[in-house]
Amino acid sequence: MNNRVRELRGEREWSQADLAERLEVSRQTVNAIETGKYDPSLPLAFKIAKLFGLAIESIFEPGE
Amino acid sequence: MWNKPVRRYMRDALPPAVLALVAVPLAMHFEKSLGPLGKSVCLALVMLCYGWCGWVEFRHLRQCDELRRRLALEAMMLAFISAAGIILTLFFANAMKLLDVPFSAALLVMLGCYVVCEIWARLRYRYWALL
Repeated sequence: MNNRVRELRGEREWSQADLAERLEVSRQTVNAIETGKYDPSLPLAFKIAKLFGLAIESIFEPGE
Repeated sequence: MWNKPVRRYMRDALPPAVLALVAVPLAMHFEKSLGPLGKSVCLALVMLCYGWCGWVEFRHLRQCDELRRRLALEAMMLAFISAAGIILTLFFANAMKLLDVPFSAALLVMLGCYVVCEIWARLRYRYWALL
């Protein structure tokens, strides 16, 4: 799955640690999501979408 | 230095860990001088420590973030598969008198498999936080 988390985080000038704190997950989790090593659960995806004020499908899209 | 969940984990893990550190050497030291009832009490105490530590670990994992839980799941599943395979192979090798492996080797195999699989899972997700 591809995502725009890194891009959206960059726009807000947040570090991975900042985003992790806002999402109540570890910094490693944010890093794994951004690098595509880990797809977040649905609750976490909703949390990310809510935090960035966007719809889930505009942040995450199915990859190959 | 530590965040709240880790502090809680340390606080919860300390009593059973200390009890285990006291109970195991004591049980081993007095093992020869104890009767069956004393030995049973020692065994029950050691098992209590084990169960208590296990419960603390389980509770901590349930409060960890989802990547940490995924990592633990993958590491434990792989460790179980590999350890069961190796132990089964050793069991059959023993039964066929190809090898003479002591029963205690099973524990080392399990621990070794778990450590290797945990490292593998951490490398996979680049997750280096200790707790």
